Amino acid sequence: MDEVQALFQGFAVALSPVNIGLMFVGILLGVLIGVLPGLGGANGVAILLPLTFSMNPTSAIIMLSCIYWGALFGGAITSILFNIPGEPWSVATTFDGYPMAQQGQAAQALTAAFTSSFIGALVAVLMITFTAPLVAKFALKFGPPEFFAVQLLTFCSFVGMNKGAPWKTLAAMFLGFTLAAIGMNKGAPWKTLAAMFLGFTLAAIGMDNVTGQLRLTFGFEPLMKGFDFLIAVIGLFGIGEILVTMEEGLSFKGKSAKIDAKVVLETWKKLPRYWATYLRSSLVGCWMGITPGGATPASFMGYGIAKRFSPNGKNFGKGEIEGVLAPETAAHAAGTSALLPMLTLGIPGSPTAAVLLGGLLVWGLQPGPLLFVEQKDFVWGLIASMYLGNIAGLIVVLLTVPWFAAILRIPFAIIAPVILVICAVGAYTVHSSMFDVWLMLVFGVMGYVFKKLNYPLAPLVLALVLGDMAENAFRQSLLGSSGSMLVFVSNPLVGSITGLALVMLFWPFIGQWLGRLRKRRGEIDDDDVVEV
Amino acid sequence: MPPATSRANRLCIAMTQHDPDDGHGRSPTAATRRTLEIITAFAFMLLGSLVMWDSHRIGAGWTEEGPQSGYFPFYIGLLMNIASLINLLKALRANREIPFVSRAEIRLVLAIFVPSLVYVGFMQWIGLYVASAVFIAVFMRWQGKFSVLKSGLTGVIVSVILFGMFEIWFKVPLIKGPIEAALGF
Repeated sequence: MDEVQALFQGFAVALSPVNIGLMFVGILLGVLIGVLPGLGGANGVAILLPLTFSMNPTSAIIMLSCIYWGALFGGAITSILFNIPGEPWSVATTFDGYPMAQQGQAAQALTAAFTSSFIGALVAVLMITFTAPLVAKFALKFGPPEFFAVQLLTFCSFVGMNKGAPWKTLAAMFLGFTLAAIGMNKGAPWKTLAAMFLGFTLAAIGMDNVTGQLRLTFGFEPLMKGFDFLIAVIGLFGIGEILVTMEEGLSFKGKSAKIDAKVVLETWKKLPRYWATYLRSSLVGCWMGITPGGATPASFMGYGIAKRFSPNGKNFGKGEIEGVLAPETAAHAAGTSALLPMLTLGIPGSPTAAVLLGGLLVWGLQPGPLLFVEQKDFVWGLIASMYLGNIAGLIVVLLTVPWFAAILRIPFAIIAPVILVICAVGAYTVHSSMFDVWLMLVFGVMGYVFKKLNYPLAPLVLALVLGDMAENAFRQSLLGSSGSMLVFVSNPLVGSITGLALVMLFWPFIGQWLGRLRKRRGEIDDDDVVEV
Repeated sequence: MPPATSRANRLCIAMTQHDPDDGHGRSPTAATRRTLEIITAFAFMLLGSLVMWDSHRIGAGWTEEGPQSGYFPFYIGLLMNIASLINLLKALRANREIPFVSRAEIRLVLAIFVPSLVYVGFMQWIGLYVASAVFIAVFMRWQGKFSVLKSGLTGVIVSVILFGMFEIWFKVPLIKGPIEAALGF
């Protein structure tokens, strides 16, 4: 068992006092980020990323990934106590979590949510521990056509998973590609677009900073050239979220939370009887995390499946504990397993994983299968820290819930400007450029409009990150084949990946057709979830 | 903390009470969803066309060295145009009644967005720390109806924390203005 041995080496790396300290700092920051509207996993990590540039990569990723775990935990707190999902993946948790809180069972709901998050993550980490090395070994055989096919699959599955609006997904994705392509051709397209963006904001400012941007083209890692996706993440997710939250005019009718050891133990006693739900949700979560469905659709699917299979299915929505644990398990399993393709293929499974991937490049590590060969300490340190970080997370959230609930009672008139300031600082620190701060505001407006019109943000961000890589793989493949597209079906491996990608791409249309067929037979599919 | 809760509610009330009502408890629509869908689709198509035009200009074909630098973006732009055209056609057939945002809602959104624009605009001249303190204080006083003392204090405390964290702890310099210069930073 090479993996087990490597894992123990990883524990040795992760268990240094500094790394344990960073783990707790990360978890606390993460829960805080998860609780506050406008700060989420992806943009929280994006804002803090510049602070880690000088850190040792292993410590940096341990802290940042713990922020991610913390954010996954934190989303549940607001959902259950305030009926406000702090994160999109905790929307499904509100369905039964908030009714439970209203019935005076807030502590039980929170305990169930945290424990389920922990179990979901644990299953995903176990899966990563044993499959990641195999996937990486397999992927070492990949050439450019295979890589492009996998990237194609990544994007096509967004279209396939998103039951809402396939064309919007496509449009958003191509926008991401376009923004990424700007960096490739440093000259004119950048100016064209910069001019357009400047037209949106204030024409006077930024020209100097545009030349400042050119600084990126030498000295920075390949992917960070040109348009910086961190700015897009901070604007789209941070500012966009603030604007949406502002519009809703937050009303604070939260329940206070007190968790004591007795409630925790009593709830824990109840949980084992839901083993089947755990199993189903974990599987759904792992699958959705690896194919880049992400935590949000996973949580809805986890909820929907549990509702269908549970004997108490009709009580769902009225405060059923199973309705809390199913989405939480799936969301956390998905959020965690999203790191598998990031580590093994260099393809992130979620926006937060995309930001972490950007971090790898900044710290001078090339993501992809070679990471498992060349950076053993880093990879296994990270995997070990996933076990430890989630244990730390469970302890931290159980102990600090009342404190975080109190933070939520701070009026939005204070929270909103403070978060805006934090986002501005985050955007500025990426390249010390004022232009980026303006750009962040532009992206904020875009995020607001896109969110309201159901244009998905995740594929946009992923395309922005992967655009360069996908284009390179595509061009190299075509060079190898002197321009023939048949290279993408030239052997069974690349052919089946491409085929799968095309199935995913056309899935919404196949689905519509099947749906029509089924309707004609009088069956109604009731668990259609429109993912935003 | 009951006073804080009531203040939060007051924020909502203060920000919505002046809105005209259409008699059904909803503020009148400022823009329909259909309008925004159309505008967004057009913006996408404009961008897609710009990309195609520019890619064509720098070369989107083949040479002996393989695909030119405009090759990939050209097709991305084309595909973006196709996807957006379909979005546009769908939007044109959409319901004209569904609101995108009501007047009350857009007022709340602008209540944070316009000050943010001013904040970022001033950041360049007076530095991030001073601008942040003023921004937080003014917003709290204006929208949250906090006392001048509380608002000012919160703004200053946030800026001091940021300063300690970035300039001193992590040694990441943020944009500074004349006041920091006068203090010797």
